[in-house]
Amino acid sequence: MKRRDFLRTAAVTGIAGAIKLGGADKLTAQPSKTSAGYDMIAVMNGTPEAMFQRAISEIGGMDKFIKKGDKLVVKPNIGWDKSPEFAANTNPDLIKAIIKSCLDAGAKEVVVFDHTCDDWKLCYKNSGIEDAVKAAGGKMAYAHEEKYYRKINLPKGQRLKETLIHEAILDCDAWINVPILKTHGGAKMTIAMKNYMGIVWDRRFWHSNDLQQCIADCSTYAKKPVLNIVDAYRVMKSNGPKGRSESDVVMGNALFMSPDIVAIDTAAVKFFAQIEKMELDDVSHIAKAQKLKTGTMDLDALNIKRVRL
Amino acid sequence: MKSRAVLKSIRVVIALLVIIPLMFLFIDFAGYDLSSIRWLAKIQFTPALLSALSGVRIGLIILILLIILTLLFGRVYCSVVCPLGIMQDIFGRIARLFKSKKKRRYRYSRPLNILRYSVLGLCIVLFVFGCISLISYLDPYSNFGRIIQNIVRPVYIQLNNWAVTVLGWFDNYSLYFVSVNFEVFAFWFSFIAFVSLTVLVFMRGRLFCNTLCPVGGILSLISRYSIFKLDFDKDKCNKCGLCEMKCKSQCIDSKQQKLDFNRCVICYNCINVCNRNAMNYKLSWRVKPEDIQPDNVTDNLPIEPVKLVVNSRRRFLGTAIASIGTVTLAYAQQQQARNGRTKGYTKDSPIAPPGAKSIAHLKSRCTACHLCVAQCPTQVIKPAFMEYGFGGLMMPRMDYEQHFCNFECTVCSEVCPNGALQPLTIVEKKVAQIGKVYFVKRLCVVHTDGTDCGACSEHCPTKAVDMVPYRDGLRIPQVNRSICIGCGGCEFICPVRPFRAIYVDGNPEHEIADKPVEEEKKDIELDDFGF
Repeated sequence: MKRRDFLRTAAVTGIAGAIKLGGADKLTAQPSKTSAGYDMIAVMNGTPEAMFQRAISEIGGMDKFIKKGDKLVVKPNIGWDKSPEFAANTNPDLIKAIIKSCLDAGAKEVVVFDHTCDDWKLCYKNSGIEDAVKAAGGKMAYAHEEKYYRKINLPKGQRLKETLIHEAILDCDAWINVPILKTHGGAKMTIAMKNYMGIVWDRRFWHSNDLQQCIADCSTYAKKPVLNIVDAYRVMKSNGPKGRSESDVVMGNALFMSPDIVAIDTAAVKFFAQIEKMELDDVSHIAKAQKLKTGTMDLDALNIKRVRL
Repeated sequence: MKSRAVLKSIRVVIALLVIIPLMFLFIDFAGYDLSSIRWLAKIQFTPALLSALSGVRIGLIILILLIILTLLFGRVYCSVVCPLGIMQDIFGRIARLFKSKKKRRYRYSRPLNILRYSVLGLCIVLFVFGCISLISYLDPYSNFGRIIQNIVRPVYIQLNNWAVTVLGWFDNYSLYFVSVNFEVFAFWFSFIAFVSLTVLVFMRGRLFCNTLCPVGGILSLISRYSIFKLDFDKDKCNKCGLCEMKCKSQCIDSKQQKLDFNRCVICYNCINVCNRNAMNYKLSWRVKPEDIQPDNVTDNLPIEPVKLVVNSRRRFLGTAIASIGTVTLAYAQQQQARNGRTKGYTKDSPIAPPGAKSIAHLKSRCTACHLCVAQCPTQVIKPAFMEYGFGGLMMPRMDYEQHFCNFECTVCSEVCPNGALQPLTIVEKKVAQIGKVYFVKRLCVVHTDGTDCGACSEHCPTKAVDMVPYRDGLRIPQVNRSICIGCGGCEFICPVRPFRAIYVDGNPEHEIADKPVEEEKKDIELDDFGF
């Protein structure tokens, strides 16, 4: 290492340390450019936990995205009454690692929920997520009744002008979106933006009013997740989003992390296209969301850190 | 306290130990694992009899044990096993609070044997000719189930929901909201039974058990031959009449020192109340019909049968009104379906829950206790109205309007005490085809709006509904009925209204679906990010 590099690193570390010690939380909580300047971290070849640890430290640490005393929501996909090896739900080990990281960063509480498709109790239990959340010190929230949702307006929405969103999202200080990478019969792919369907009440409206546009419209909701973390450890390559057997599953051994939901979905589709044929254009909610200025599909313009463990 | 008083205490304790868990089995919505108390439904007389008739060995064993119990000690069943009997005792207890001391007294009444055995006979004859309805409407356990499921459970859930709100004020979120699945027709059906029963209990104690109840009828025939019978010790008795006043079966005639044992539900109140130890269990090897049935009693209450006539008239009127309402409603429904045919479609068959084997089998064994309705985790099972016809009123049917059947679940088939739903293993369940899917392309949003949807395929556990390429990069559902099991996920989630673009039509005879052909699991080595 050159002396100059060493000094620079030392200085940055020192400043970062000082800021942390000084408790200037506001400064570190800005989810703009990371200290290393990365817009996205992509990690391969590790356990969900190890890939997450590496990604979060590369992107600048959890405390860059959340403040001490925050009430947080971690929103996985828990849509189906399936165990983890079927890759229908987000990996519970990953959820556990995220919650721990949030609590270590000083979060007051971490709430986890999903508006499930199968019976919610069976989904929470058999996905392994309820146990993982409890073990990590988080809380499961209920999301099976309309009473848990409140109406919000989406002024930028084309088809979806208003929708009922879960109170945990509305009332939290920040939320982290943790989808799993799967094919989808209707939306073609279900990744980060599609995971919003688990924070709203009336999904049938979306399905009957241009599903792809509604997915993009909902991503314009002002309270964006501070981070999107795509679980591609196991990937459902066919018969998604519910899947049928383990032959629908391939080991992706990957994880992506970015505050930009359009970019992360774009990256995930490109990753998926290595497994099964998938045109980015067909997953049309991604382009529609870019048009609504939710984020960018231009990965070349982004500073992406690729890590192989 | 007399040592024999312990008999009544034992009776009360056992009765409570039966009715409380059994009630919980019907009202629990939280999905507790109640498999360890399901047997409480299976030890009931009618379920045991019906499952024995279906060749379920455990049903036969229970039936024999119940008969042996009755042959030993009389109708113990009616006081400690039968939940409706126990419920009547509780109501009777409550009734005492509203009665003057004088009105609390029961008086001996003559047996209404003609009514009792005609009802029993009619139940049996109709059953032999394939109509289980009368048994279903009169069976005590099934009535208990319907009352708890359709009246008490909604109240319980509403109380829970209020509790959620109140706890919420104190930032306590340990409870959660549950929607009240209130079935209007099932409610009124159960409510009429409930009110009639309550009135009977208030006025005449256990009259139901000795007139209309078919189980009471059968057990009374058996209890004539009981080895131990309650009877007067005529030397000790001074005809004070305390036992008669306490006898809710109204089967003790203290003046004549006679106890009509085949109407006795073995509550032991008489033993408890007697100051002279004059009421005892006695070994009676020999049957003395003249002892059991005091036909010679003439000095008694001519008003009683009249009351019953009034009651039965009321009952008849109630039934008539209910029937008229039913027919009208059914007609209206049919009309609605017919009017919609230009745009919609009609379904040919209702859908019986998994394990029913066929609608005919369900209709031959189900007494509509609603245990499956109560225990179904997704609440997809609803009491039928006219879907199965008159003979299938209140029987369980699958309703995909707001719910669908969970692929990984066999609860209904496991809880059914009658063998109307026969137990399925999870492997059998996953190919148990209770209905088949039909896709109506002209209604599908992909066709009409040219936008993506795929909600049906998303919910399909076997991919009997799959998405295939359509125009403009869209995908549209395609169905493969041979692997469809009729779970209703597709129909449930389809957003098209008023007629859904995909629906399940019932299989009158349940079939076995083909197993989906699985691709071989591929191992793909990924060493690049692709971007």
